[in-house]
Amino acid sequence: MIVIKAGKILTMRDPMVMEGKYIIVEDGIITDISSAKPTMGEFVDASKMVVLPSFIDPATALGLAEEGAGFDYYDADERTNPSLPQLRSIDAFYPKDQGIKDAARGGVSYFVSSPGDSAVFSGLEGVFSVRGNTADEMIRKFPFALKLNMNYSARIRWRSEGKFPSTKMGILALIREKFEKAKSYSKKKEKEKDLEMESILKVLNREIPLKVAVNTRDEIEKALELKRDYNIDIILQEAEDSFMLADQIKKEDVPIIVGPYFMAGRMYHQRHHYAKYAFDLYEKGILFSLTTNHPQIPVNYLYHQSVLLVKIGIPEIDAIKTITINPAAILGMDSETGTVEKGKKANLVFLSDEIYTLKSEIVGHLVEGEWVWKNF
Amino acid sequence: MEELLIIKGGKIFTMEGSLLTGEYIVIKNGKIVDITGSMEIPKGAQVIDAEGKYVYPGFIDIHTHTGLWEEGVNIEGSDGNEMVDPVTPHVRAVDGINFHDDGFKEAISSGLTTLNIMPGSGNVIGGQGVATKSTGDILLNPSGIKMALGENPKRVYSAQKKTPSTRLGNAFIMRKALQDTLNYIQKKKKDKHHFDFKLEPLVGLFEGKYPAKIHSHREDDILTALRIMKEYGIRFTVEHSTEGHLIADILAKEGIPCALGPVLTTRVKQELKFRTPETARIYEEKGVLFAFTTDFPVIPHYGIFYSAQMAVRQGLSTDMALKAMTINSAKILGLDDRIGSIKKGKDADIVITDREVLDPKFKVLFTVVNGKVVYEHKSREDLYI
Repeated sequence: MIVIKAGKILTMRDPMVMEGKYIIVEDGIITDISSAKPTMGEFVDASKMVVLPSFIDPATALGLAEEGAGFDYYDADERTNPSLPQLRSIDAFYPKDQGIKDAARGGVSYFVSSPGDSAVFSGLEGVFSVRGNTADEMIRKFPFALKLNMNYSARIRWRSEGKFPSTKMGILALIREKFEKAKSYSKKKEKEKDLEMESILKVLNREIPLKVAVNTRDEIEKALELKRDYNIDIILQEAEDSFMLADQIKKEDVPIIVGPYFMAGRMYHQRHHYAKYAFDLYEKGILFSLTTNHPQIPVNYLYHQSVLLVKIGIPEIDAIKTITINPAAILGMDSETGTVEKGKKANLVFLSDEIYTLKSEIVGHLVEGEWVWKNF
Repeated sequence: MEELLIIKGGKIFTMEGSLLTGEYIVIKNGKIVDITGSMEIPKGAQVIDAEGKYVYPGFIDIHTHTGLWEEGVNIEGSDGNEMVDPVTPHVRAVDGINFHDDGFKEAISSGLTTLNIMPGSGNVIGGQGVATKSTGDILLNPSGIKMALGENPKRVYSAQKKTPSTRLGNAFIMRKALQDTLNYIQKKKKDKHHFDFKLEPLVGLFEGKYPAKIHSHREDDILTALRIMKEYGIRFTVEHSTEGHLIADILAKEGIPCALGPVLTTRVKQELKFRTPETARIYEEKGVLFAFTTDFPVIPHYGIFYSAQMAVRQGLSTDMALKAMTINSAKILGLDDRIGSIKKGKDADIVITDREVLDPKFKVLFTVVNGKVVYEHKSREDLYI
């Protein structure tokens, strides 16, 4: 049992702020948040600290693109076939990637590891924890989603290879062809198991969502059309132009993963890739979360990056939600993580001072009741 | 009539060793003409009330590619590296910059008033850099000769099956270009009509007119740069200096200025493996002259402030953090007589913010370049974040 005396808790639920409470952790779970100090257990004095839920990054290549190893160890993108939904991120996951240690120090407890952005159907994503020694010990949800790339980077890849699909038309034709094929495959009575079709069927059967990378307004409209035509669940990613369609996206209840924003060097399709456009999503009440898209920017800067949302006018607590409860909800894991709450996993970040100040550092990180970083 | 701009009040970080409050900064013809405790404001003068605000000299990034790799444009706006020949000292950044690019707007709205823009690091000798105000007013051209060691040139030319394809080749190509220049100088002494357009810019290095600016991340690359430059008696700066903390004693002893950064990226290349946010603190401890850089568009211009904040959390003093974006940067560019601090006689490049720039939440309210208000924050739409 761990007993944490917390100066201030930012719960990310009602009541938002709790002061002077004890967080009781048993077997990796928050079993109580109490005013009275229990008489037993390992005591942690965080009375001068701010405690908040661990952060969650819903789009990374952690474990697949090893930090500091060079290009020979980049296993995040199988660029040889436009339809590879059967790829599984867990199969190339290197648990000792320095980036995962950085994530732990940076307060990120869970992250999605995604197989690439060149293939149109690029494979199955998984949710991993920073805690554990092997891929199997670290996996928390597999598959979480099927990644679909309807964006610029996919079609430019196949265009440069002189292969189909090299246009938006081609990409949509490929997607619809595979969907229709999967539908007839599912109706076949006797069949050999087809791994490609099995992955796509998971989406059509609504077992998992389709995570769709899009950039421009028309691409977003096409993604929404696929959702309606096939009655599937989708999550939008990148989606720079989503602010133009905020009403419709809200109406259709589609979550969005935005960012990363510590970036420049925008290409034409990314010309609206600025944090300020996320304000419209916030204002409409769309469920959205922030990502580093590690290794695009380092995963440990997820929290530091979220201050940009404060700078564009989003309240501080709501900015923190985009890296805690919002991604937990998008991952379908909000019943177990994303808030500081009785019954949830003890995934807690310890900040040395108030959020979004120069002096505040991540001095401790508890994941599932175990310290993955402690410097106090 | 002479245009008069007066900035009244606020906490003024002069970067000249003093922190002033409530003073008036008087600006005329683009220069700071006075800093005074009291004055009668002349009729017709433009006044910025900075009461309760923070006033800084314009911030400087000593290593960017702004306008060479344009924002929101694909290959059509990609002009950073002339990657068909590893030695191109005759190309000039100033000839490839689109000064109308959004990158400059982002710089101005972020409080960066001077940028040293250089060709990329695809070539061993990439070309001539230019120090310019973010408004396009050129300060110094050339500001130095961009060179590169390490992974980038060897990756570019091994793909083309040309030298250099190793670090051995990088050093050889660099040394050969310098030796060719020395030979050229000798020839010119004998024949004054002898002229080599390509080597001519390198003569300035031997005359001490401007430094070599050498991209090097790894310790061994930095020391290779030092070895070759010492051999030829050439002044140089280390650009990026990712592993500089491992040899900070040497850098301090040899008096080699370092550009540090960008730090907000992953260790995508093997040569970035030992990057640490502690480098700045170690530079301060050992007395290395350094300044932060964003390497824009690798990270946004405003990322310079986040780089400084990260370093402060690792023990860098707040005073040095500010110096490494202002006066140190000016010194490294050799422009400290014009920019880098708020001082009578210097260019009127001033940034006014709502909080201290080391506060993660700060916003730029006004940017003044050469005495003109070039940015005023009014709404979210004005932000390039």
